[in-house]
Amino acid sequence: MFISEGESNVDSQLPQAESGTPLEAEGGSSENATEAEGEKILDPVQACREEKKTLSEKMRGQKKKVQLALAGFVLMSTLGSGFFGAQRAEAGERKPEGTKAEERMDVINQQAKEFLRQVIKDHKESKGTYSQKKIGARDMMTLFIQTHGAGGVEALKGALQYPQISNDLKGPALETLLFLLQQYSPHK
Amino acid sequence: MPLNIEKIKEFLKSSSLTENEREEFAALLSHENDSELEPIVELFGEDPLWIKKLYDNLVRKQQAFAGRDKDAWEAIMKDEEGALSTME
Repeated sequence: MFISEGESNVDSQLPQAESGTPLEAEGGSSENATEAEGEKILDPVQACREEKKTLSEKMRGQKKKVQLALAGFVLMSTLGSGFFGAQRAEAGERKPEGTKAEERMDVINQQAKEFLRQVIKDHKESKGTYSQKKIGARDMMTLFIQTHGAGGVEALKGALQYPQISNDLKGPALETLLFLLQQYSPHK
Repeated sequence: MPLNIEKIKEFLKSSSLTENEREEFAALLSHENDSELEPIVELFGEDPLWIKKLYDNLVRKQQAFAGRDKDAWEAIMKDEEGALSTME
């Protein structure tokens, strides 16, 4: 996917908030936007949307490198926003009015974190070869994804945002997980 | 053909980021659909200095989000606009 010279198609390239990710788990933007107006409190979801919209408009028609830089800035926003959502979840904050679907997603998110911690532990203790570890990881991760469906994929992506998981998940386990997330991604 | 995330990891190896920063950055970028990383690969390929710029930008944004600091966010937006306008 490339950007044509002098053409702004940044919107189509930039990552969108996906259902169940920490980015969207922050809640709808409209109520938080009202809160932010009076109290100078940043709403990450709203902020990312505004950045994407305003910068995209201002930079429309600019040369390719500007468009690439803009895409990079906006991507960093979505990543940063996701990190923030994960942080709040880790701190035990809950939404005031969680729906059943949101509560179920919270449970899957928690299970995904515990699952990946177990994978990390198993891989540290395993004496298998790289290929054997990959096969083991693939079987376990596939089972998790098949058990939880699309929510499981999103939960695994979310779990990867925790530094204590992303820093420790390496080698065959990380490689396998990234591959499976690609395979099961709804955008694919 | 290598995934974009793998290309990015190669770029990161030659960056001025520390090993931990590289791992953190790669792990975060790996959350995105690989096709969404295409512009990042292009950007890093054109000028590796963008690796440090985007990483620093990400850290500032994380701090603004964590503190829910709208003023800090607006300062970041201003810096981004400034950086983009110098490239025009």
